[in-house]
Amino acid sequence: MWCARLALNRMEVAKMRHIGLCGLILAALLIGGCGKIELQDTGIPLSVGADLKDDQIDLAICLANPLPTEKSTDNEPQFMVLNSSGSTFSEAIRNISLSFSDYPLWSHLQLSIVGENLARSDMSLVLDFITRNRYVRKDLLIVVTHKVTPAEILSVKPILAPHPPTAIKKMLKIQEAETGIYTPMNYTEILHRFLTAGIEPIIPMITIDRSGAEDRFLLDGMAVFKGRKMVGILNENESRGFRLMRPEQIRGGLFIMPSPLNRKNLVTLELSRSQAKITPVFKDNQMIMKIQLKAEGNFYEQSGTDNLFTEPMFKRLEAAAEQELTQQILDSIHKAQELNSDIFGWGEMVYRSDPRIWKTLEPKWDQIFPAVQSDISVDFSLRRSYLTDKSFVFR
Amino acid sequence: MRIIKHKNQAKLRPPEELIKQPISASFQENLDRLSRLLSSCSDVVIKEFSFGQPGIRAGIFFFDGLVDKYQVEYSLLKPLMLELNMQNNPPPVNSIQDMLNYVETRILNMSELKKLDSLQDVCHHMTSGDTVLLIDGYTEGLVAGTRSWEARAVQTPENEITVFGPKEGFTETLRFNTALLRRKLKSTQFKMESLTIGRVTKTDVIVCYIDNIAPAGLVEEVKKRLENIDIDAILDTGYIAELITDYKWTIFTQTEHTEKPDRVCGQLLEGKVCIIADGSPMALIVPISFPEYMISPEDYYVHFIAASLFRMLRFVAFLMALLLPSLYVAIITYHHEMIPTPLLLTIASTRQGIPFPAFLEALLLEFTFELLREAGLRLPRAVGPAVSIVGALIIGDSAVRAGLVSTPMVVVVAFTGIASFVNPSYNAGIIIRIARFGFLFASALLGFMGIIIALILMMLRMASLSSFGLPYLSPLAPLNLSQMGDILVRRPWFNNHNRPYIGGMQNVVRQAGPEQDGGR
Repeated sequence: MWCARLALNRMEVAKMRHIGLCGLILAALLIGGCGKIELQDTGIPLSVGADLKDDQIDLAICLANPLPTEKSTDNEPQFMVLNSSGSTFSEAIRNISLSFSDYPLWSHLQLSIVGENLARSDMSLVLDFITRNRYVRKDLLIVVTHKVTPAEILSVKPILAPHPPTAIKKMLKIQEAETGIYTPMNYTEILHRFLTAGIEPIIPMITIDRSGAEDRFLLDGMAVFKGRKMVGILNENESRGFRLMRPEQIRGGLFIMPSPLNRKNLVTLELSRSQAKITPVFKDNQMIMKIQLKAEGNFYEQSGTDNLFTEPMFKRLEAAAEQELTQQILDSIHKAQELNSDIFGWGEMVYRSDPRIWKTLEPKWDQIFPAVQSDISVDFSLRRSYLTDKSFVFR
Repeated sequence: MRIIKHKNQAKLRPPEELIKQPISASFQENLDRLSRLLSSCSDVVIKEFSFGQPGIRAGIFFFDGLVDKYQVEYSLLKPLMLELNMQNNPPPVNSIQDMLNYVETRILNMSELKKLDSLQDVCHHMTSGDTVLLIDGYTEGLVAGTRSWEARAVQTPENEITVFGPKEGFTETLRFNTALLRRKLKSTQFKMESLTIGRVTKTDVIVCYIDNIAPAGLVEEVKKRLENIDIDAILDTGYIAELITDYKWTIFTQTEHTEKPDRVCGQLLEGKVCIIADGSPMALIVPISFPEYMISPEDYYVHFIAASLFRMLRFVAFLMALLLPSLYVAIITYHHEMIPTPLLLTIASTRQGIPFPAFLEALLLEFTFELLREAGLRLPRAVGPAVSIVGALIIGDSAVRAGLVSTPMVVVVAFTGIASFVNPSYNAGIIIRIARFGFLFASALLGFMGIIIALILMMLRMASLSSFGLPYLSPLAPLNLSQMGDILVRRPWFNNHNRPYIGGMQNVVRQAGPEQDGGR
């Protein structure tokens, strides 16, 4: 055998290599087609809504209904909602497969809607499944319903946008840049907030505005969690304050304040950028959160005809804006302390600045947090008023 | 009967032996032998005559249609038959010791005259269009260059179209082609060595190179490989390309064909060797590396920034032509998460009710495209529009309307088709067309992983090839940074001082040194 091997000349070795290569390619042919899913055989779930009803998980899945282009002008809805229930999330999903023929492509899930019932009882029912599903993207947005069920949300036909989840996703993003009220929360951040000590989850809420002829979506408040349960709601102003204290730079948003000349008139300013810096300070065995906000904004609108465009008026405008922003921050801190939920992640900040102190504080953080003092200083600078440099004078 | 036949065979030598005979001193014997060799050749012309006082027997031999008859009559026959006798004091023929020499040097007013002494040479020259003169009493004959035949004129190449630059192209006539080259390279260093290949066709093949630029070893190797060719016919340089390449069992061709003299000259100036053959309008350039297939001669004529952008566009088009259908199939059968949701929904909406899997659909459409393309090549001009209508309307539109194929797939295949026409080299185009199907199979089997495996296999194969010792992927692999300036981009002329280096090259400086560069 040895001799035979040694006797192989180069040509034979080369031939054997070729045979080996062909064998490899044939082997590839044999394993070929693993995980192959033709697009015709798929359903594309864009959103999954989960709620708790009589101790059963109640699921509503919004599937895109890809219509042939010729028919898309028809009034046929471009989505459909499947409902099912089960004692666990997986069982509810499985029950959908029992009545739906195609493979669900979970990778295109855009929005997860959590019913208020479920949020108030236990969020882990949803998060566990999403975490384990390898197809779900980690930038999935999450909202909590307010007074309605996810199935109701998903049955609303959105204006212009083809599917409710895309509409809600866009709404969350655009309202933040335009008005600066609610902060969209994606799955990665929510999971971090749920799993880390010293920071609590907070999720924007959505409800249905039934006042008009047709139902509309309405973003309304932010759900505040304590542990795995939802404990309360931040209103619009408190949500603004929460957003201002985000650790990253924020851009965009309008806010309204009384005019410094005439308290009856209102002035609207645009927040072009703002950066909060929060540092825990220990003084006399007492912890103070030092919140420094550096913000810039532009003049947007005023409801009177006062001449605000003078050098001293700018200073007064800035002072008024600083006061307004401080108030928003204070409101949100009060609400969070009232609900005893550390949505700002102050505990985590303490841990980062001094892990040893955090070790002693962590067990009794629930008692400490509601009493933590804050020292807020806002530095607002008015940058421009766009092309208008004089107030309108109506005659 | 048998005996007679046997006797005849004994008396008459077979033609294979006859042709090896030298020219005999007896004109009659030569005439008999040639008549036998050229029996049944209806286009041969044998003209017997005698000249001088007293007459000497002589004859001219040529093939009709290959010679300029006017020249034969006025420069060969007229001086011998008329002017020799009309001289004031015609010297008596007997007094001339060497009549053959006298005729060659004093009588015939032709520039191209040569002596020959074997029947083989006689036949070879006759078949090439020369006229042979045999004179009684001499063991040598005279051959006069009278080649002239109906030939295609120098025209614009139909397959290599450029906007800028010279428009002339090679033709089937070797002399025209060498003249086109010589007119561009007015240097004695530009060499054209002639060989004859092909037992039947006896094709003249010319190896062109610039002596002080092309590596001597390369020239020797090319000549050696050409001399080793033993085949009955060379009808086109395509025969030679296949016979002389290093690696034969591969789709990656290692030679470049071109119809453009300017492109040949450009390559010769970079140390390459060019092979042209009689009867073929395609010149062969060796060695060639794969990245050079992306280079169009036009790149060197337009502004370097534009040329560089065009070249990058060409590389993108190359990748698209190679990979687009397989990427599409891989994405919509394996990697649905890789495309944005709205795009996926658009594609999904067009795929509702399509009866075929995406792979089969791609394969069918690619096959159809290749069919149309192949049909388009050989269409008689009159039916051309009909086929375009069938191709565009029936296959494109109706197949989509009937729900046999989806629109994005048609778009992908059409895009791929357009991208494959961007490539300036027909050879590279063929490689892309074949490899594309391999990638399609790979993507249907394993998705992106399959494409990556196929890409790795292709790169391995390409990296293992070489063309006359030049690595097939050079200068990309082995990496030569100094030459990268002329692959992805086109180096501006004012900054291009050296030739791209190929092994064994001596003269690399192309332009005066950088210190003379006055540009800003």
